[in-house]
Amino acid sequence: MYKQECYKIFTRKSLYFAFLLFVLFMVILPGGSTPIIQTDEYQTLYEEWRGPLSRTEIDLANQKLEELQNRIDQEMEQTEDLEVVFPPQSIEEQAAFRVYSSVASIGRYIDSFQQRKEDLQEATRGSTTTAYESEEARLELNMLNELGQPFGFYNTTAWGNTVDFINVFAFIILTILIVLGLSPVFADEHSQKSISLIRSTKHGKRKIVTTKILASCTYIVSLFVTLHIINVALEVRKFGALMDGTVPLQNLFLFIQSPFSLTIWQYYAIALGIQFFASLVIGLLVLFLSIVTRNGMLTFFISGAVIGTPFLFRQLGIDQPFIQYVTQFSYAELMRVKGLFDQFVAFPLFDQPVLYPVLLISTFLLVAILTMYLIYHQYKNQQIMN
Amino acid sequence: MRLTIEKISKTFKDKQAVTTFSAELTEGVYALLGPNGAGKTTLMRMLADIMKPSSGRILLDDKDISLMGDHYRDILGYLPQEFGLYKNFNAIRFLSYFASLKGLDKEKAKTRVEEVLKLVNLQKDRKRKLRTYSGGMKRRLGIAQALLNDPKILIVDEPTAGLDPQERVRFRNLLSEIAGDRIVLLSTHIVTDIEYIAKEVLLMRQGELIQRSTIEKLLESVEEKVWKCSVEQGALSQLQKSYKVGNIQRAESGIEIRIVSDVKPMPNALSVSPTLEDVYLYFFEKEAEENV
Repeated sequence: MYKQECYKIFTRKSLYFAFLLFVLFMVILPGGSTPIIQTDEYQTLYEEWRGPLSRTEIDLANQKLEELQNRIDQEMEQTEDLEVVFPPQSIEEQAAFRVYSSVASIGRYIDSFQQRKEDLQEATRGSTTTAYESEEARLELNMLNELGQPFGFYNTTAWGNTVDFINVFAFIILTILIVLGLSPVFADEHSQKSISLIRSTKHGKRKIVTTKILASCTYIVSLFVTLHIINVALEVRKFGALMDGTVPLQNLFLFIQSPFSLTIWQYYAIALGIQFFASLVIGLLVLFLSIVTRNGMLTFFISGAVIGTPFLFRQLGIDQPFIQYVTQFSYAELMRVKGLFDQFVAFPLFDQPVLYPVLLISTFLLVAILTMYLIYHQYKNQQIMN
Repeated sequence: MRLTIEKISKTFKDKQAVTTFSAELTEGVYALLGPNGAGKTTLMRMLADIMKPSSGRILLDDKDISLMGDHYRDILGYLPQEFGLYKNFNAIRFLSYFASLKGLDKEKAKTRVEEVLKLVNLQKDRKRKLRTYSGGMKRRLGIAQALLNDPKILIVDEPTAGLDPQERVRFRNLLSEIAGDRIVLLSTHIVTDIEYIAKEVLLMRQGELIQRSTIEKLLESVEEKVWKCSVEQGALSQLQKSYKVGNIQRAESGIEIRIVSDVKPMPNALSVSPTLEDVYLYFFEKEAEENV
């Protein structure tokens, strides 16, 4: 039964067509290593500066950057050709500019990080905050203290792209393909008029549901694994290798404010796990709607609306408190993962701050259990009218 | 084995599809006869456990089938009036799928699939994609699927619709062969399908059981009520308005017609032996006219 249920899903040509289209899009997508990073000049400087940064090193980088900037300014003043806004720089200068400006930026992150800790220290004293706010500040401060000083100069571009893929393209591609692939799982039995045959069989009311869920999970696993393997392969092809995966997560631009003590590699593994869990939860939602609506197309659009609307709210920047709650506790946010880890967010639960990722994952665990129950319940009690 | 239908009713919003239907069925073939909209399909769906009665209950050997669940469906074979097949599947894949749904183990399923394919004469086409099947072949595959688990209760809704005469005879004989130790309930419009095999006929109209009898008794009930006579073309329409007119056949002497009537319709009318078609006409004349 399981084999045939898989066969029903995996023989749908539209899924392969959509998947290939997305892969093609990923292949032709611009991006990759900027040419200067590939040069020997940059690599020499990079090796020289790579690693955790001391205040002296940051000051030195700032000084060198200023000198370089002054030299460029002078050259600009001396040039007679008014059409040339930026005079041509040597490879050495470009490489140096890139390295020093990166180090200088990291210096600013470190300053902000220290400032944040001081602000939190102040908040924990509770002179201007409520008891809950103090508790929340204490939690964040503890997390930041545990981090130590996470910033350094590393080449994390490849990891940055790989991790960001989860947040943007994997979210879109997986969602579309899961909704597209699973919408007909129950609905098609009605449109093909095979439901009467199935439901009158021994296992047609309960085991069939388990089998269809398992087949759907198989589809999700195949899709998920294939998509992420293709992405990693494409990133490796662009950058040569995924370097500096063992450095703290805060060295990725998207996560400079993250309070979580994770390496990039650890975060990637966790993010994949959460996105996989989200894919399963979305899969269950689609299966449930497929039973209720008895129509594949309707399931596709309702699922799309349920998942896409909060994402749209976020993209449009709608910041009403209720909408924000809806957005934060949406399928889309779970699927994108980034929002769970890129900054400190906690919610009060019995007057105690609970971390957003913990609360969101717990919520969706309950949602998954409830959806599973509803799937069995709804299917078992469904009556065939036509 | 005893299947008891105990005062079951089914209501859809504002329509009463089945009204306090009661019957007790034991081993043998039962024919459910009635015009379109009589509630046959709804009754069969309730018996197939895919629809719940609004009231009443169905018992198998005194056990409520809604409580028996899997155990009831384990001994059930059902062929609905309308059903679809998976276009990408071939007959073997389709039947193997249903064999697993019916709880047959792999080895038994393999043997049984071959057996039922042979029963419905589809062995040669067993590897063809179902999208290439004709209507009759699909029907035969449906019958094969209903027989897969060697059901003790077989419910078939219009099983011979779309079958050619040869296949219809083949199916009739098949039902006759297997009916000895099981309950078979079949609905049909084609009365010749049940003429020789039905143990009893259940006549349904507007959701109600109006008559339950053996074929012999049904035929007896219209004895001396079936007439054959020759008429001229001009008189035909007047006769059709006044009597239940069955077969109309052109002959050298004019038109030979069959009339079902309590009284002799014409002086030259001859009383003839009734058939099940005459019985149908006698009980459902109004509906038969509407269907025409």
